[in-house]
Amino acid sequence: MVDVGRHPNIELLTLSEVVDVKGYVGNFEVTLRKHPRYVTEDCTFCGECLERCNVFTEDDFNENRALRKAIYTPFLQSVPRQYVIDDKVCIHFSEEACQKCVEDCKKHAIDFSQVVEEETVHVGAIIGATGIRPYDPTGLYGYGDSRFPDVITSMELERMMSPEGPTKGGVVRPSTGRAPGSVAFIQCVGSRSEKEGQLSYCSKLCCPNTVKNTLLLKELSPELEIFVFHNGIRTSGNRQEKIFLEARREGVIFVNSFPEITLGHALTFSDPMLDHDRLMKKQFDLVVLAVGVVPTAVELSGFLGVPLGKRGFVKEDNQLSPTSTPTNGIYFAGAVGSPADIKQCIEQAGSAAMQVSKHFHRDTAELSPVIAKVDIEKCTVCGKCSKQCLFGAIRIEDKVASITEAVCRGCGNCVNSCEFDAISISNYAEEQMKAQLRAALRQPEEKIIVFACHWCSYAGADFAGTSRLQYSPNARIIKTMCSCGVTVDLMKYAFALGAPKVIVSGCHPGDCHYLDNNMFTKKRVMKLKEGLMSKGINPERLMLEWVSASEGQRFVEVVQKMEQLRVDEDEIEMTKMIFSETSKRKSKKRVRK
Amino acid sequence: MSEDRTGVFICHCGTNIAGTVNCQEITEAIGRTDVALVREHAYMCTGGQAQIVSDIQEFDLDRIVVAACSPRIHDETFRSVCKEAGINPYMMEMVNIREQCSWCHTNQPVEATQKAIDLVHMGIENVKLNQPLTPIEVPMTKKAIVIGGGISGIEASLQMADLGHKVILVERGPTIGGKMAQLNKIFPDQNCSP
Repeated sequence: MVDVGRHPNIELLTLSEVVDVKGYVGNFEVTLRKHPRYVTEDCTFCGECLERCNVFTEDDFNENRALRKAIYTPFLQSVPRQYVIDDKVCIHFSEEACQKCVEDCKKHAIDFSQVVEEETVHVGAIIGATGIRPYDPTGLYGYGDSRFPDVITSMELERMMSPEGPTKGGVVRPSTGRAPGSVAFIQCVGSRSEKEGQLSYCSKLCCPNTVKNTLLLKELSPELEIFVFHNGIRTSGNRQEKIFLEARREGVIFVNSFPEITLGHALTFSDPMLDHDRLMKKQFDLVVLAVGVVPTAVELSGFLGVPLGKRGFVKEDNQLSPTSTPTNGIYFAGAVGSPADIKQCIEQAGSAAMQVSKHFHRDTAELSPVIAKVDIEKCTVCGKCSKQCLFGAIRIEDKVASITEAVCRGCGNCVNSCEFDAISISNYAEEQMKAQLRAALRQPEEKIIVFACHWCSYAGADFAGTSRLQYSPNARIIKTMCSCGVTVDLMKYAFALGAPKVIVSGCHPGDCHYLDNNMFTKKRVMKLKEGLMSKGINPERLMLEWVSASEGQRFVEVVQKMEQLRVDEDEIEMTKMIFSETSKRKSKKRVRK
Repeated sequence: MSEDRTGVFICHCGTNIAGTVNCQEITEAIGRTDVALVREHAYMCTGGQAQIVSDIQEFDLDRIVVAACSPRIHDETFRSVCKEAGINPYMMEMVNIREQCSWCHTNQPVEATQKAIDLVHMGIENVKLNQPLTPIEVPMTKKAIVIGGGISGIEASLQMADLGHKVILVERGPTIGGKMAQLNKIFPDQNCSP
């Protein structure tokens, strides 16, 4: 930690948050919001201000089990070594306009004139490492209920055991302040549960962490009675099993059962090793809930535009690039991607740092040439594509639509807006998808055309395959960059060729890799479904489904649902006729130009 | 015969593909079209690479279709192969006959084979319209930002900084350290938190 503070290559910005990220690899513009510390770098950490300040508040660093002052440092080794003023509680900001700390600071390091500032920085690469927070167990095992004062979380125990913590390292019952004679740990609190609001995954850190704490407690007081209630202890890897065996040798009792708590901190449980049906009841002085970990990735995903898996962690681009996001130049490390212990966080940090270093090894970055291009012969400079592009990549100049190559992301949203077929995505051209449709529909009977976006739905189909999930062999997948690249023309063309069923699939709303372009897809599909209905065609033959990269099962369900739909030959023929007519009309319009 | 010279490469992926899909049937069906060459290989991504390079050169191919696994896995591999053989890396299309065929229609080998043939046809029609492309070069700002000052963010910043790169480390709280700083000792060796 101290190394960060003094490294000449690191600029440390605390009390700062990212509010916006724009740009692309090599050229990101990151907007930061810097909150005031009210204490300048002249602070020598002498602590006189601390002496004078009389305003107390709950100390979040100590899990609200202690009080701190309005001017404070979270802990003694904090970096930077400067105090900070909590403006939510400091009474300088009230009518009192207290100045006590200012008066006592010989270095004049307190500056109440500081305000929130915004700054935009230019960087070439980004690493997201916002980590995890402990699961809030309020309501479980009496936690948070005044009748159960001696139920605490594993994080609260950590703070208690710390020499700097609220009890200076002594483990005590919060109700009496005296050392406990018996301690129960309850594992998987909030984890490995399908219950509403709980975590379906294994949080991975809680088992070894509890085992570690039982050993430390036994070291402090060998007579202490310790029970661990668990759902199978998971101490995997090289050295964790060793500490589990050691804890058993020290007399820690592991019970494979989840207890019920009743008043007086009495736990009722059965031990399957002894007798599954025999209920036992035992009172404990202290109950520690080994809480799971919750990802903090939602916000990160919001401004970085990177996808999350369904459990809320950042999703890696693919499992062989565990710290890469699908966006070139944006990486992540640590528990924001999956529960990870300290060692794994360090390993991943090294991996992400190496990914960035690879970029910095060169003076330029290569961007995909799969982007929009304009056929100047066909372009009528109507400007519709330019209005359609949310990235601002299309300018109208010199009487032609012109693409800013580094800004264009190649989503294909502009293609639908062009009535003259003048704009296309290189190697994902509408003509190419039509050629694929012709090949796929040489024998159209029973076929299901699936347009799947590169990022989510195509990857979801891959995941279905990797998981060996079986579905109808009638599906023919056509890959697009974004679902917004599936033009109305293309969907109609599929029906004109006799496709009985068409699925358009993309990333879930909010997960689109091109801002919210999949909402354009939705609009187009919905409109065409209405069109189908008005012509007496079953609108269910056109389906819009969101499938993420982690939803192999969902991909299969979508295809199987479509497979069940029966379409009779007459309807297919009628649809063919209707849409062959409309395609002809469109070609006439082009001729008129 | 058309003017394009398309080569089609069909990967067995050991038995991952060939265990379900009848690759010889694909070769025969595609052989009846106007492509310049159809070639099978047990592992196109490894031993097959050299074969593709020599075939592109020997048969004067100007574009290829690789029927193998997902393009999400090996697009880059086969683009590099094209480059090595002297054709534009974007004159290549992958056709996914593993994840989207052999692995998801394991118990329907006849249908899986028919689907694979269709997919290869789609790939051929697609690649016929491909254009040679060149990646866009943009300048690289040699400065990184790390968001989050916990153990991962600290370590990533230090690693990059030690390699000589400029780093901005952004932390929302008043200090770095994150959740790690709150831990008393860390498993399995009971070290103090770093």
